Amino acid sequence: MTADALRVEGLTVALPASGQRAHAAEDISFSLRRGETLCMVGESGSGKSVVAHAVMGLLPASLRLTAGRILLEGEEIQGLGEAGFRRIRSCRLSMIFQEPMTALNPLMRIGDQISEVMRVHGVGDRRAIRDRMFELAEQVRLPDPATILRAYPMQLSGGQRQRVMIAMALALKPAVLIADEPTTALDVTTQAQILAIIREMQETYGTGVLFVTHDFGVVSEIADRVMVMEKGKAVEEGLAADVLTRPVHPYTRRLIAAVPALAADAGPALEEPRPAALEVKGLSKRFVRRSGLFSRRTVVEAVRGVDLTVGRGEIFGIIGESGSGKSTLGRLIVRLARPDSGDILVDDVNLARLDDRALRPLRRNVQMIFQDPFNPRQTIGTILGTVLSLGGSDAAAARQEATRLLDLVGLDAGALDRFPHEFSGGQRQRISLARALATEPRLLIADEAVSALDVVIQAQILDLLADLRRRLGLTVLFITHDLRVAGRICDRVAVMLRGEIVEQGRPAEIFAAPRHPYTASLIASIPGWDPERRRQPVEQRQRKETAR
Amino acid sequence: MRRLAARLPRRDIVFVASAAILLVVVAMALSAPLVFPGGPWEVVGPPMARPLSDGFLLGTDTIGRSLLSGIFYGARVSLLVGIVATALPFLLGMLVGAVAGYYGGVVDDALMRLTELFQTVPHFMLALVLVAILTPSIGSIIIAISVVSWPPVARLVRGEFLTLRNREFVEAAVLSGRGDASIILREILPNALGPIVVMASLMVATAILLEAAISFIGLGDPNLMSWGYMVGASRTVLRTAWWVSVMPGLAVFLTVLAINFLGEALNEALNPRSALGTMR
Repeated sequence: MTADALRVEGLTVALPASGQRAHAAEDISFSLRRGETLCMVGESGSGKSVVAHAVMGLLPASLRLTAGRILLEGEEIQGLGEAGFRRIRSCRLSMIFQEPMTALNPLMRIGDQISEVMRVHGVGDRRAIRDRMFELAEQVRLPDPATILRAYPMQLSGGQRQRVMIAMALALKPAVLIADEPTTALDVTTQAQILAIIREMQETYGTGVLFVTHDFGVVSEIADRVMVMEKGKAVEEGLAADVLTRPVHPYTRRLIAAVPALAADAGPALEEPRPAALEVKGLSKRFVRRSGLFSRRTVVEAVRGVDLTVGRGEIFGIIGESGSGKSTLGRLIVRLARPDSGDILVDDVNLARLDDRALRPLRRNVQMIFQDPFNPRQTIGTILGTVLSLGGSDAAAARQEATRLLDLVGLDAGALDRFPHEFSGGQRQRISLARALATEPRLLIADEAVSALDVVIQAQILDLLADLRRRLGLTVLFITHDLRVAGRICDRVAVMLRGEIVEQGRPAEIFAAPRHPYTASLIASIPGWDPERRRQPVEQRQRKETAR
Repeated sequence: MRRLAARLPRRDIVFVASAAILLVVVAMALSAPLVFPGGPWEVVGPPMARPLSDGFLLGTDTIGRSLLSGIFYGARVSLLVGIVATALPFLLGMLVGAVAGYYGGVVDDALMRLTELFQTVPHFMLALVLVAILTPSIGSIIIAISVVSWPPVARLVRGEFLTLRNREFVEAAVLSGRGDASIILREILPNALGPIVVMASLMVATAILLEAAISFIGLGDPNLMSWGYMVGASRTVLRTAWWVSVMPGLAVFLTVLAINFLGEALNEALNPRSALGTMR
């Protein structure tokens, strides 16, 4: 193994002149050996995806590679045209993406898509292709390969689609696999499985993996070496163990510090009992779906007999994976959806039984923190002003109150005259919080309010929420899929599985001793949580192999 | 609005020519009584005078009326029908589409079945029958055109509303306790307007064409000179005096073409994604 599988020297990609900075990526150099995993870590906009796409020859037309060399197994590839790249893609250099649904052709059967990769690159023997497909399906642990290979992408789950992508990417045993946030869109339990499969496949084929991620938990599980990117520059590079335990660059330290650990940030125990701000009793909601005129009706029981009580001034977490019904529960409580049965008591008023007209004046008491609740054609001042004037403020008073709200969430009054798209994700989340607070609600529902944010920003928003809770005595129902986030901010949490609450209690107790097996599997799936799954250095692994 | 103006292809020859043609038509409509105080029905010369003869720029028709005068007055009818018979179905379609898309469920089903009912009947036939029943007049022509052209607007508006209805800013507005009318008018409608405006600009052209067709058949308003009537009245002499029907026909053709091109330009300007080159 003389030549590196992949070697990048002084890679520089220019941004268009109107961009925020001159280069999307500047003077990036790294090397990747066979069987090694290099994690490229950074926040969104740090240029990590640009580097990955540049190596694949997939830069959009607006970005230009201005300097640097890319060597694949010792051979320069940066100057190859589209035809040249087409020859090496899949065969020697492969990529998997964040959203497999968009990467797969929705009109082609899975088996045809995998076999196409092999046929295009000259594997002609149909029997050989078929055998290889079944071998791959087994390696990525697709259940019932014969059925799945005949299925269409939309019939598979997100995790299965990503397995198919991995099978396609590794069908021709490429030297290098580039993985661009391949598990970000997946639930934690699925993420853990996908990471394990990538590791196994890598060991089987000796592939060098360039893994792009923003999640340090994932890094600790999969990386041999780490490269940290900030604003297009590599600020730190080294062995995973070193970077994770002894980060040198302040930016790396900030990133690692911002990763919420799964230690419930318990704080002083709330003195019980508190008066209930929200009581939910036997709440149920089912959706009946009919896909076609003649197809059978499918009934989805999204929420099944949920009971919970949230005390005044409490932050109560609802944890669950996608499809667990946690979002439906939130929408039922704010009454964006009508429950089939059950009661929702907010300050002793049963919201579940009211019709839309009776509900309207009460809506201000229960607000939701959305991810993006902004009419793109209105300024922040108009958006906040509309909500405030409904509460009886005149124009001048509304503007004053809007300024106060913005100040509360850490923004200045200059924001009032600007449009939503002029703000960053973190700022928008702050404004969203201000908007929700504008009606002086008794109860706030936060549905994945911080999930789309980078870790550093996420930590800031969580701190802000905790601070506002203390100052304003807010009651918050905090819906999330991320146990670490829930543990950091919630006083109590409930775990949802298939529409039911399977466990609830204080986070410290639940995380330390989960009573329900599903909770235990959720905790075990948190990337970087299980020290046994941590990565051993590549030399040790190879020594073990040679010893065998 | 200024941003929109900046996006229009002001250097494109087709766009400039279309705008110029439309301006000329508007100018003709406005100035008709000044230029031809005698009105379009006045006999001013020998029948079927050739264009550019005896001081008649476009010649005269079968009984010696000035064709140019007819085209000036015809522009008034065409523009009136184009504007009013677009505005009415536009408002009706918007109302039906907004209500159907916003409330959904049974309301949506009922309104959409009604819309489909109108769409399945051949437009021109329905319009003709309506004009015949209501007795030919400019009012009944406008009503007939409106009745046949609102369904596409309703469907488009409904589609826009269906997607916008589930956007977070609309749900946030619902949660702040606002009434339906306020949410529809202030939150959803401004965001749905782009494609609707483009459709309306094309509907103007369709309305003008429909009016011309109705008048051609002889169901036009007997008191108003219209391009369609001029073509229809002179079609028997097409072989001996081609200009009598070709001149007003050309007027319809150019006006409709110009409006179509302007609608297209408006579409490109309002919908930057449709323009190639700005992608990604």
